[in-house]
Amino acid sequence: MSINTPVYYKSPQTLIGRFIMKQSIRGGVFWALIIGAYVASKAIGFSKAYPTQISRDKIAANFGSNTGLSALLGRPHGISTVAGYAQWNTIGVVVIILAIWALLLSTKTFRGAEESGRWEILLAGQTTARKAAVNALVGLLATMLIIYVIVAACFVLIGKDQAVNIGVGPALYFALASVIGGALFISVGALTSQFMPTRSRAAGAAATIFGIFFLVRAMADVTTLNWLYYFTPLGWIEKLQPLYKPQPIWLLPLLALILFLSYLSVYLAGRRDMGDSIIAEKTSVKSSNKLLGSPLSASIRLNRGNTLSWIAAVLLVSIFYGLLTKSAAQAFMQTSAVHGVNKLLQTNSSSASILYLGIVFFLLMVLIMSYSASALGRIREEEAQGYLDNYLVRPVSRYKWLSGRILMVFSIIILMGLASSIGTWAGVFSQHSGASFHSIFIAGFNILPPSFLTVGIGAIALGFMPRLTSILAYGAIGWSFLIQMVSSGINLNHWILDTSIVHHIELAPAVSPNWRSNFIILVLGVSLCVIGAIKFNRRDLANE
Amino acid sequence: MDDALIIKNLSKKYGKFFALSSLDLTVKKGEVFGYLGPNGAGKTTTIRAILGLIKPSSGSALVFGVDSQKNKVEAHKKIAYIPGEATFWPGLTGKETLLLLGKIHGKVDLSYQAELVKRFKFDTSKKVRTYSKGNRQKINIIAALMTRADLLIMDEPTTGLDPIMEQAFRQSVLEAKANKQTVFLSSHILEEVEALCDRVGILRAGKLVELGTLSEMRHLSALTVQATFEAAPPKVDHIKGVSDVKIIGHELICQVRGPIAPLLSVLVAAKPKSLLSREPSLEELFLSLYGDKEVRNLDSDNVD
Repeated sequence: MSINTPVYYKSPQTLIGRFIMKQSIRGGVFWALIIGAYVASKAIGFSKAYPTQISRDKIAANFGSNTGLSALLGRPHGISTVAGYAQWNTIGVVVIILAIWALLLSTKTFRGAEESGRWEILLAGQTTARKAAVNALVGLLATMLIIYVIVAACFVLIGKDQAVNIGVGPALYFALASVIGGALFISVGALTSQFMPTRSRAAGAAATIFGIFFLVRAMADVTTLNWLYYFTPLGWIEKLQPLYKPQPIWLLPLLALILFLSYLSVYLAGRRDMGDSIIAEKTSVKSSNKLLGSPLSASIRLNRGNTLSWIAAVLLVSIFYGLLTKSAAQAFMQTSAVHGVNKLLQTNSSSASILYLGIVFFLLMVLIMSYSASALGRIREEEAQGYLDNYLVRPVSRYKWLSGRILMVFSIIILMGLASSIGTWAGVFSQHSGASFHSIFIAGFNILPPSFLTVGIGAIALGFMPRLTSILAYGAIGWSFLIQMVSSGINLNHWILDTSIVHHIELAPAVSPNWRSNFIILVLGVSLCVIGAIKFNRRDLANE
Repeated sequence: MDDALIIKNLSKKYGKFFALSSLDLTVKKGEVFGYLGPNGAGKTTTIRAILGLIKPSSGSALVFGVDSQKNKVEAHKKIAYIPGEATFWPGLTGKETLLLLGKIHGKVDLSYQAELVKRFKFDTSKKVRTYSKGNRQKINIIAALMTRADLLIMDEPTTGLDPIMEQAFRQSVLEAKANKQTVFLSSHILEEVEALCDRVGILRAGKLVELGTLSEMRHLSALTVQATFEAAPPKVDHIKGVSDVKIIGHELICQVRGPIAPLLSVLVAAKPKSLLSREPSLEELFLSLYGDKEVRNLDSDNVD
């Protein structure tokens, strides 16, 4: 038998980095464009909503004294200018978004790949554990670089708007200050992946680190303990102040920390065995028979951590926004933004706090809809990963399994509605903002039908196009959110407006709920679930 | 009802490609049936169709008279399945997983479960994510056997097991047979099939090409004859049924199909020093059906 000349591929040593960059780039581009659009809406929106210096000074006075917003976004500097406002409103939000995305991506790349056995296959190539870790980090940081390039391009374009007027240099620096938090949490995620035995724990540890950094920065922002800024990288990012009295010196500790954490991750990757972690997992644990009696009870047990996190998130977000009711309401009643809010809510209400609560419940509605999409994604994952086979090769009907899971999601949505009411009321009550418990309680349940419809859309996708379940469920939310945002600024054709799931909901307490419309959306959601379940029962299981 | 499994005209089409084509097969109650075929022949497709995990393009499968597509839950009460890949919830322990799977099935022989755990040297206290591939496969095996189901469907069940555990598995299958359970065993390990199965079906490109007991198949196949002589071996090529004649020095090796007497008379007349004859192994039967080349070609097609 003759031996053919083998084909030699270019640079097999850097393949892992290129592969990881290719895998993460789509998400990166998506977030970069979202950030660009967000900054455009904030900078251009501010310049149009507050066209005079008097109105800008007023908003600066209102926001400047709001400790809640300072805790969330950082201490405001020069927010009576478009640049100062854009800086304050952007960096705080973008850092949160990118940090969470980056730590999830990083822990998925490192610990997730190792947990599933994919990393082992890569390590069998022309590489070592350390070289592979370096490659992975370079791949992820290259994705961050691409995000930076897109964000910077967006910022430069936005800066060219006469009303915004930000130069190219400051725009590039602004983009760097916005994105560097993502790079930092790539390295944090890489490090926690060396310490923790599972992806979820690595992500949890990285999220805890983020939470501590955030809390310390928030304390520095709302107290006189200014020295606390030095102890949190998020404080260093805040100190960069790219568009108002810039302090680029703070880039040095940030870059040094990214390099140090990356080096430590690479060092530890080479020290430990494949599959092991610095903090070892207990190999033997005490078994518990609780909630293992049926597929449904097992699902409750296996999803309880995730479910409780979602409910807690809804509760905390609603408490937080409830606490801001008074000052936020005062702020936007003094601006032309109130017109847009009235348009979004389709009302002419003049009560500032009630209008504000309408917006709060709109945001909570989107949050609960996101849970619905995530829950359907998890149901699909159970099938894709092959866990569902374990049930369906035994005397369990597909209808029973799927209806049980959907009813569980419906129940959790109702619990979230309750949590949103209780949380918002608690915040409002502490501020003596005047809204009654009854109206807030009703508002909490008024926002639930779109979540049921999102479940229905996910169920239809699960039945007909299972691999698109998450994409279609999240897509429906994204589309609806986009339509609502755009329609508050320009007049859209009613056919387009009607495609938004949330458009048909009257946002209580700003507007009285339309129970008839809610009922129709609920029935539509349930009907889609039934059709999806019928199709699911008839199709082949689609494992990945 | 003497038949545990009746497959009638079962087909599965993906686009224009037939993964399974008009399969007719009956497995008798209490027998151990071996289901063979190279990668991509349609073995797993058959099993997933029997279990109702995929919908056949045509045909049906009756499990003890129950249509496994129309009445999956009733059919599954009589079935226990061992897949070749073990996918369990990583956060549960082995004990919790066995408990969950047992409760879902609805029937478990707890003392036998304990015996199986001991036999397979399975530590139930660990979380699934910490088990090796072989240990995870033990969960599949124990979870199926502990139900004492009437029909055990196995798809490459010993994947990842070491030779000692393979022996434990064989012992368990023989126990199931003694317990009058029916076993449908799809395997690549021909030695395992040879040791356990009463009948064998061989699948090729979605079609059943051989079906019968091993002795029936051997009769249909060539016998290998090997003889050593003091001098040059006699010529045997002209004898009816003789093929593949090889002469290495004073040794002759050939295959004979049909009556062996004409060949034997020629060989005995030449006064052999030694004379050996043996039936083909299952592996030889398998290879004679496919040939090396075809096995390789089918290997590249992973429909299974």
